[in-house]
Amino acid sequence: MSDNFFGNAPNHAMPYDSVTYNGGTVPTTAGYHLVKRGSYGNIDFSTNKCVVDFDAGCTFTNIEVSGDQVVLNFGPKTTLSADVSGGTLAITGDRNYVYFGPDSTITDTGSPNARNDTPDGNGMAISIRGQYNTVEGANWTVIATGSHSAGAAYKNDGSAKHNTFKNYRGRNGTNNGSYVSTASFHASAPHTTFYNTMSDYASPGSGNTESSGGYKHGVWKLGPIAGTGSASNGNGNGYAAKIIYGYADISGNSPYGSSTDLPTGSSANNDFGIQNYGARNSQVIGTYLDSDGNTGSLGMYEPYTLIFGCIWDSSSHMSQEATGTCNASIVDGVSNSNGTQTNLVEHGGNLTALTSD
Amino acid sequence: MPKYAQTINIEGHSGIHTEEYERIVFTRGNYAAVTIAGDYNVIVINAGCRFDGKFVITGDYNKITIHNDVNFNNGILIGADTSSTVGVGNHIKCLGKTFITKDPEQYNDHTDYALQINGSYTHWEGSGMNTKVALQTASGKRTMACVIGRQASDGNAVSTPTKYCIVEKTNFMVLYNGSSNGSGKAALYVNGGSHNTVACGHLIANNWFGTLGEYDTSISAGQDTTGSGGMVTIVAGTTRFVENHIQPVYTGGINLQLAGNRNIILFNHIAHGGSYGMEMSQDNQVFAGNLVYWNDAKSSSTSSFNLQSGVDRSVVAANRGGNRSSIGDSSTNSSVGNNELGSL
Repeated sequence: MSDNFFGNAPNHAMPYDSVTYNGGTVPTTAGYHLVKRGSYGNIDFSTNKCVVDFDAGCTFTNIEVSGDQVVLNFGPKTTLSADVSGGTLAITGDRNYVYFGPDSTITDTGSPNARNDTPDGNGMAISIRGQYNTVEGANWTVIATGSHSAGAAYKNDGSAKHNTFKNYRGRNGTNNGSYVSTASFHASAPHTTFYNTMSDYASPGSGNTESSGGYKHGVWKLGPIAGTGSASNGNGNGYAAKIIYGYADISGNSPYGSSTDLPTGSSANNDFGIQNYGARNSQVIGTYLDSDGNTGSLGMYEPYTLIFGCIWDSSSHMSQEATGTCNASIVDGVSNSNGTQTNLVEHGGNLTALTSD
Repeated sequence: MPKYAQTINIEGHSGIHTEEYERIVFTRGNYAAVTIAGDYNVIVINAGCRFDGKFVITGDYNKITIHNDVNFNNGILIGADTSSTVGVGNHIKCLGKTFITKDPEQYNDHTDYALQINGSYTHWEGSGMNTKVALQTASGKRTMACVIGRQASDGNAVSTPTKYCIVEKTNFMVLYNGSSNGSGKAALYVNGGSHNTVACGHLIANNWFGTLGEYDTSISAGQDTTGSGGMVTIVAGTTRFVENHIQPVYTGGINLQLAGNRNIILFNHIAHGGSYGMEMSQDNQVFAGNLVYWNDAKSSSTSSFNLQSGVDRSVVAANRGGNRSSIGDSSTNSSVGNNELGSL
């Protein structure tokens, strides 16, 4: 065998089928490949069972994973940056796994679509439109940024389902949003899970207009990826979505400032921590929101939802429907007596203050 | 000649490594002290490695994968002893049997740790019960198997809090050395000092704390957590402590001490010891969906969980506690209810 694959010591052989160096073509065939530090442009991993380890410091424009059972194991300081429709990282196949090493960034620099545009829109950092896929970051030093979404699972025909986003930070672009649907994370396909995802973005900012602005902004949006506001329209929905151990910092000292930066003068102007229009049977568990008194609603406006074990430091109330359940949580207050509400502490703004948060 | 890795760690090659953006392999063998000082490396520690010196990571954003049957015999420090801004953002992942301890002969610090995580954004990922972080007690020494954001030099918290760590899938324990050595022992101690009012945002999930009866059928011979404090103590604010398993503390001490604000404590299995299974001493915390029970050797005179008088606006609900049919609640403005109590 070639020495290429074994380095300079005899006892640490790794069974790579290929090694690619800067300037080469990243293999997309089935097998186990290694890609060294370099710049590689855009790639479509279209062949099933392609497994690739990447060294640190690899840069790309956009990546699509259209094959199935593909494993992409990116090293630290990986960079994806593009202005592309459908996601800088777009997973359209099934049963794929993508890992990003520490301090990686996935950025979509595009402007978001306007209100009634197609759902395969612009401004999405990571989108999943297949089934049983997972995107996982090393920790919250992995940052995905998109003017519309930092992580979205959706598909028009409803076939996308059971996808997971885990252990990374999501942000929207400053002064950019898409009407009605800008959010850090979108659960717009059934059975989407966000596990330990974090957003420290307050809102799209005051520079938005109605056509391309964010009158409503959510940290986690459960429901259609786009559209005019219909709860469960042809743009998909987030049926049985789960936000578990999430963490949101929309306080005034988050990197992008206060959530009061949203445009004013419209009744549709609103900020949400959880914005659930269209995702029945969904749940929010063990999730924390720090707002420093800014608005960040906990709104589950669909049937059969569960809120359990959350702490919501927000000046806005918890709201759910008649079939909703909210237990064992701390909220500013409740907007009505809908559904089951037990063991809630309504702090009314009287939380013990934190420092340096 | 091209090669897939810059393999600078063949057996016996220890010391400081400052490489960046490299793929580094530790081949099977014995090593003395190692420091990973560079950033952005992909590091593989092959099966069968043994580190008899301290393993220190001062570089940032490295991905370190530890393969099967690897021993760290003089502890691991992620970051620097007195700083949270050194050794930031590393992801350490164990794939198989991994053992981390510190030789009692090396107990030179004020307080001794097996795994010291001080760099913010650290992700420590064990492989399950096969990843063990164990420390033996010693006379006159404070011994903690794992800490986040704490100094060995004086036993205090780092001045700038360590934030946003993930610690998961690992078995932490403090072992009995033949004598009862008093207080100052913990399987896990998270931050300290004034960090209770700081949003630290850790996620601590799917871990086991205690010996779980593996070392001896007599619990007292396997584990020494005598004294107050807590087998697991969480001072950091906004920590999410979920889906963990805490094994009985036979000789005393609180199993889980919740001393930070706005912590979320869900779905844990906590076996009760000589004092409270869970004690809460700070505000705005949620403790729900947990099972807290006595071990068989204890009476039913102490509550399975207790809220101190200074606690304000907290939730303790939807838990199962035993054996005592009531809990201690001296808090104000809290919601305490829907807990099933009594004999288990």
